[in-house]
This record gives sequence, C-alpha cells and structure tokens, in this order.
Amino acid sequence: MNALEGRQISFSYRKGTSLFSQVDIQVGQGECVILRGPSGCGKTTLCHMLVGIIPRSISGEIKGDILLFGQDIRTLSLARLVQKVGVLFQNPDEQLFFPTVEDEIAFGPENLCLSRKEIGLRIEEALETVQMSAFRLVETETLSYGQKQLIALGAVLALQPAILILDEAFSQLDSFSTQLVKGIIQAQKKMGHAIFMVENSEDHLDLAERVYEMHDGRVWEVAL
Amino acid sequence: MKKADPRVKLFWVLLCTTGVLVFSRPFWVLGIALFTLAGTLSFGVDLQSLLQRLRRFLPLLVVISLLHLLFVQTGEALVFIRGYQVITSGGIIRGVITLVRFFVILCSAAVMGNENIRRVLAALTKLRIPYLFSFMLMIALRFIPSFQSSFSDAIIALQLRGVDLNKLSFRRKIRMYGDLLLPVVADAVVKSRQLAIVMEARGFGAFDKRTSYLEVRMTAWDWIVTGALFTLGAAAFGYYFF
Repeated sequence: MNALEGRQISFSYRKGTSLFSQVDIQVGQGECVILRGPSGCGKTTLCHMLVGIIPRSISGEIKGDILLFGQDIRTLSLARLVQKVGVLFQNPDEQLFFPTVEDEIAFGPENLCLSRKEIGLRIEEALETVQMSAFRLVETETLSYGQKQLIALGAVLALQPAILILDEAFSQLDSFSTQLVKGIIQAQKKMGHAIFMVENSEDHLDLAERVYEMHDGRVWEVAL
Repeated sequence: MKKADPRVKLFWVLLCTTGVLVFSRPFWVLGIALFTLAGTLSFGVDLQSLLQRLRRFLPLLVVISLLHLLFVQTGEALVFIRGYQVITSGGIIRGVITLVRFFVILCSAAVMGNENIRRVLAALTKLRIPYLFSFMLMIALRFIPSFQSSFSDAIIALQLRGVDLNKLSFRRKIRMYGDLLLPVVADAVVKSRQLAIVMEARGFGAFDKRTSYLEVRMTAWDWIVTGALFTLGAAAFGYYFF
C-alpha cells in the first residue's frame, strides 16, 4: 500500500481557472519522491492539498482523491491527519512563533493532548535528531536561518508523522544544515517513512527514488 | 517578585487598570500611579526600558492630554483669550488623569510583556480560559512588533529609493504614511494566514482541550501577594465608594 497517493487530482482557486488537473502521484513507504517545476506552477498548492490544508484552511475547487495509507484524507480528523503527515515549509521565520526552542517543539504534541512525560520525551528525541539539544532553552529569535529551519523540522518530527512533506526546505540552508537534513531524510526512509519533497536543485536527487516534473498544470514522472 | 506566577501579575494588572479607570479623584489616581510604578519595578521591569517605552508614546500622550486640557471646561477658569476661557482647573485635572491612566496601562503592558508568553498561556489555561482565546491574544501581541518592523522596513525601502523624509512637508508625510499603510496591512494579513496554516499543520485545534508541557504553580509567596493585593484592592474600593 502506498503511503501517499493522489488520484486524478485537480485544483483551481477560482472556477474555470485550473492550476493543475488530473495529477497522479504515489509515494511508497520508505520512499523519497521529488517534485520539480518552475515557480508558480502549483507545487506548494499541491503540498497544501496533500496535508489537508486545502480545503481546511484555503478554499478552492478540488477534484480527485488523496489517500494516506489507503484512507481518504477527507475522512481523517485533524488529530489523525497530523500524525500521518507532517509538512516543513520554505521559510522558517513563518513557522516559528514561540519564544524558545522547547516551546516550539512542545506545541504539536501539546495539541495532541499527550502527557507531560511523553511531550518531554518527544522534545528530547526531536532535538537529538536535528542535533539541536544544546539549544533547547535558547530563544528562537537568536538562531541563524539554518538553525531555525532545523527547529522547524524538529517541531514537525515531534509529531512523529509517517509521511514527511518538505516544500523547498533546503533552499536557504548552509552546507552543514543541508547535510544534516539529508541524513535525517535517509534515516526517516530507513524507518519506513515516506518523503515527498518539492525541490528544484539537482544536488538532492541522490535522495530520491523517483522524480516528478510539474509544468503547465500537468505532472509526469521523469527518469532519474 | 520577578518570578511571581503570571496569575499574580494578571491580578495586579487587573487591580491597577480597574482602579485607575474607576477612580477619578486626582490624589487617588496619583496614588495608583505610584503603586503601579512600584509594582512594575518589583515585577522585574527594567526602569530604563520602561522609560524608553514611555518616551515612544509620549507625543501621543501629550496630544491626548492637551485635547482634554483644552476641551474640558469645568471648574475654575484659569486662562482667558479675548474673553473666552481656554484653560480651566477641571481641564488640567482631566489632562493629568488621562496622562496617568495611559501611564498605568503602559506599565501593565510592560509587566505582561516582560513575562514568558508560554507561562501566561499556561496560567490562562489554569484560569479555565479557553485556549483558543489565549492563543488569539498571544498571536495579537506577537503581531504588534511584527507590524512595526514591516512598517519601518517599508519606510527604509522608500528612503533607499531617494525619498528624504526630513524634506517632506507634514501634509506629504501624512499622505505617504497613508499610502504605506495598505501594503503593510496586506503583508500582515498574508503573514497571519501563513501562521494559521503552520499552526493547523501542527495540530492546533485538533481537540477541544490541549495539554501543557510547561506547568505553572502558585507558591506560598504567590498566595501571600495575591491575598495582600486582594485585601488592599477591597479596602481601597470600599473606602472610595462607601
């Protein structure tokens, strides 16, 4: 069973102006799939659909089905959805909103009503994974851009999602942070988690099992 | 007092702001101002940063107080121009009271702004205030500096394009600020939308309740301070009204 599957999905913000149509994508368990395409072609919108932000927070006209481990995304509650799929966006400044690193990581597990003990464990684990344990009580404002992105990734990992969506998450990372995130992706794959990345750089193709290209409202698989 | 429970600080803020808004006798209002200042410093607000904050609002406060001074025509007439009374004792008192009221509000804001927002959220949760309301408050507070920085960025961008603000007339300056307001507000709307998306992607609103990793507990000292504040507040309000 695929971890993530989009069947004949179409989307338009307004009636009659389709951003993309009849898109088919699959991401298997333990697999990393990259989506490439020019700016404004709808990659981020597709990511929003795959995590349920569309139509929950952003309205538009949707056709087709999105399945997470065979279950229609529309039938999943928010609590179950965020445990199945996590998303990391491009700009960390828009993803961090608490004063300290610990607060930021704790936010997701708190929303899931986990116990204090479990939240503590998840904070430790997430910070170890992104190698930011020493920054636990540091104010997020004082961190560098790359460090902020690692914290944002840690905050997503604290929810322990089985599918990870990275929307141009590498775009402004330094080489150290890039290598670290790549290592995390490899580790996630080994754990059987699925990774869907929006990425235009050729440097990260080594992570991918398959690559999709998006252009003019269409998506197709390209040979590696 | 610096590490007092946020609930103690909230109670103190409630007491000071209610008192300064309800009391209208000048000496009582000044007494509350002194009490607020003492509390503000005891709760760990740095005097210098407090003065800086006050200085930023000073022009606005002076204008508001002047308006009261000129338009409140009660009490004894003190200054006449061409036979018309311009300044009265009532106007002066009202102007000073307005100034003090803003001072108390700014001091309260400084105390709460100095507190870790997560501790405030945890305290509000303990007070059984719905977490959606608490978060709305937090996000609103977070947007004030963000809005300020967007506005100053926009002004810097204009200056980099050759606009010399010092050479602009007052009228053109006002017009320029008006023109800048729309893009800055639009930017704030975009940011708030993105923030809502990120929060939801991390499960915000998944359940009616949420747990808190950070715990706040009232210490014996917190209870003593709360008790003292309650007694003082009850005595002051009782004496003033009865």
